[in-house]
Amino acid sequence: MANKLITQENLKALVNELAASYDVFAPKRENKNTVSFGKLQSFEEYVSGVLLTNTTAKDKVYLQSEQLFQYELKKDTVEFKEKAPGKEAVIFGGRPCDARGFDVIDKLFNWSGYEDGPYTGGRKNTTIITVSCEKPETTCFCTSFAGGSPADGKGSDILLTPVSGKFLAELLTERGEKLAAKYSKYFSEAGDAETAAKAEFAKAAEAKITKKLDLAAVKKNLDASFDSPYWDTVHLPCVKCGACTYVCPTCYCFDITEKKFGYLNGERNRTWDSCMSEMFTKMAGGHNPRTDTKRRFRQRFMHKFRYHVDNFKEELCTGCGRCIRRCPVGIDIRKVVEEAK
Amino acid sequence: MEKEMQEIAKKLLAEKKVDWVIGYENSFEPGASRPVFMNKPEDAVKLVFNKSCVNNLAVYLPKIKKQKAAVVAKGCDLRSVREIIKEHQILRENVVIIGVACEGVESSKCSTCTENKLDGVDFTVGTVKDLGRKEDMSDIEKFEELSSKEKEAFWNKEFERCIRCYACRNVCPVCYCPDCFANRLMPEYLNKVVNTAENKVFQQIRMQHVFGRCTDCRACEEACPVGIKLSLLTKKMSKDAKKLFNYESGKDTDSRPPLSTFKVDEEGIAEIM
Ligand code: SF4
Ligand code: SF4
Ligand code: SF4
Ligand code: SF4
Ligand code: SF4
Repeated sequence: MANKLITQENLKALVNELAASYDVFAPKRENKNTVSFGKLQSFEEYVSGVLLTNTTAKDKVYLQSEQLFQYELKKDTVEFKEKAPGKEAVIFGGRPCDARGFDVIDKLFNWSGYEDGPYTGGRKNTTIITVSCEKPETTCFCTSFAGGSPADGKGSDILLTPVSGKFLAELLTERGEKLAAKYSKYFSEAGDAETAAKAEFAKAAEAKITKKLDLAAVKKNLDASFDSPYWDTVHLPCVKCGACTYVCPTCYCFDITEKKFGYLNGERNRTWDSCMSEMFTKMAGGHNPRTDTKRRFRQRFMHKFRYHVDNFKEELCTGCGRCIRRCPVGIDIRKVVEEAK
Repeated sequence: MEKEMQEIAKKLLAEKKVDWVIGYENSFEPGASRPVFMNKPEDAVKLVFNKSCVNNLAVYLPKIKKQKAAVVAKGCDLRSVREIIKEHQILRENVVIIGVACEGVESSKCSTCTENKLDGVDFTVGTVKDLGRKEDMSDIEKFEELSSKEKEAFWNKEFERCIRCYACRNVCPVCYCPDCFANRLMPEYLNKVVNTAENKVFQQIRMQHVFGRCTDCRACEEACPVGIKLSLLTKKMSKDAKKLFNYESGKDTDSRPPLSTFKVDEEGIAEIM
């Protein structure tokens, strides 16, 4: 696919123009310590220097609460109302680990020939423009994963990498090409020099990542450790909230509940759920097969680095490190899976 | 200070006085620490204490149940420990309190801390100094002056961000209910749909449940992954508990929390009828 160049000024103009006709979500400051993907009115609001937004871009496509339909009892029928499809959106300024998260859960929501309507609908409506990371955080470990890098384009439609005062814009999908074609006035052609500069950029950024997991060894250890006493103590500091799973770009579990209005009218909703919650496996009638906090804790790591690998040949993690940052008690996923035995 | 703490922990574990020592260890991240549970004397060397030791470890005590635990507590955490003992979530004889003479950690509460005295602990690590800090309610007073509309607009903006991860509840030492209203399905107090209105209901009910028990320890605010200003609520509650009931939570282990008792004439509350 094609490589283009875009200058700082043109990028600004592009984003402003996009914001006029699409929902543009980008890292935006909520308060002193909080930057999350919010709807941009103009480029000025975009916070460019933050790698780890407090929450992920996932929630712009895979909504935390999604109304599936409403039902209303009429005289002799039941009327169903489906939600109108959302506006076309652009997720701008996310990072390679955010975009890769979409690539990972795309497969899940299209598994075994079943297409998840609400997710894929949102996904088709959304163009993802990602920015490569120059200075990874100490919690970043994207290079542990196959092809993972602070300058990796997987899951992105367009990947922007700063080279010689401009951005190299790699158009990685048809959607990305379409957008660049529509706004072609902002782009110019890139040459081999810029492509080479991008490779240099990637190499330098990758070298700054301090932790690399040996995933084959992790998988082997997790395969053998389900009943290990390791899990009896490692979970103790964890308070079993849902922070780690709700800020994760790859956690996808959900619950389906009803909300009623009046006597018989209501709506059916899909909401995120978390394996860390005691409600997660609680069944009608009250039985809970995952009986204790140790089992809930073990599930998160087993799922991400063992079961998902069995099913999809890749980990359910992109190494963004958000769960490490946001965990109130400093549970470090790298350490938990690496030390499992 | 750390050496002293490690020696105490080692001895307690070696002599089997406790099943667990709960303290802080260095985490993987440079400059950060995290809670640690230790049950072997040789692990005691892991214990650290520094400015990053923000967590309130009292939250773990109700989970210890019938076992015995030693817990590292700063002055502020000590209030939570007392509160939990008062509420019969752990027996005093089952907990060994290792008080640390703290001079402040990386938390918003420390600049106005008057809690660094360590009355009633089993061990004191370091020397308690008078830090000359004073209580400051000016932020609350300023907030109180806002109109209801302004307050509502402020909280709507805050709780629009809430992702209902329940980290605030789960790190709270006095939110130990095994069956929290937020998880109940029959009756359903709280719908699973996450939106500003439901998020506010969650926090309003939680705050009501912890009124007069909350020690304004700020563990909830520190834990919130989206930086919601929960200390405005917890500080206001401690101010009101003092004003209405002349009550300060966690100051002792035997007084009754104000909402678990009543007087025919509450001096702090004006009669309306
Ligand atoms: S690992 Fe951390 S964020 Fe996740 S449930 Fe446990 S305490 Fe909460
Ligand atoms: S598990 Fe943690 S590091 Fe991995 S993708 Fe999720 S939040 Fe990021
Ligand atoms: S910790 Fe913050 S985001 Fe999580 S439920 Fe509490 S207020 Fe909401
Ligand atoms: S400040 Fe927050 S965590 Fe601490 S006792 Fe009060 S409600 Fe609980
Ligand atoms: S919010 Fe209320 S019901 Fe829930 S744990 Fe706290 S005190 Fe208990």
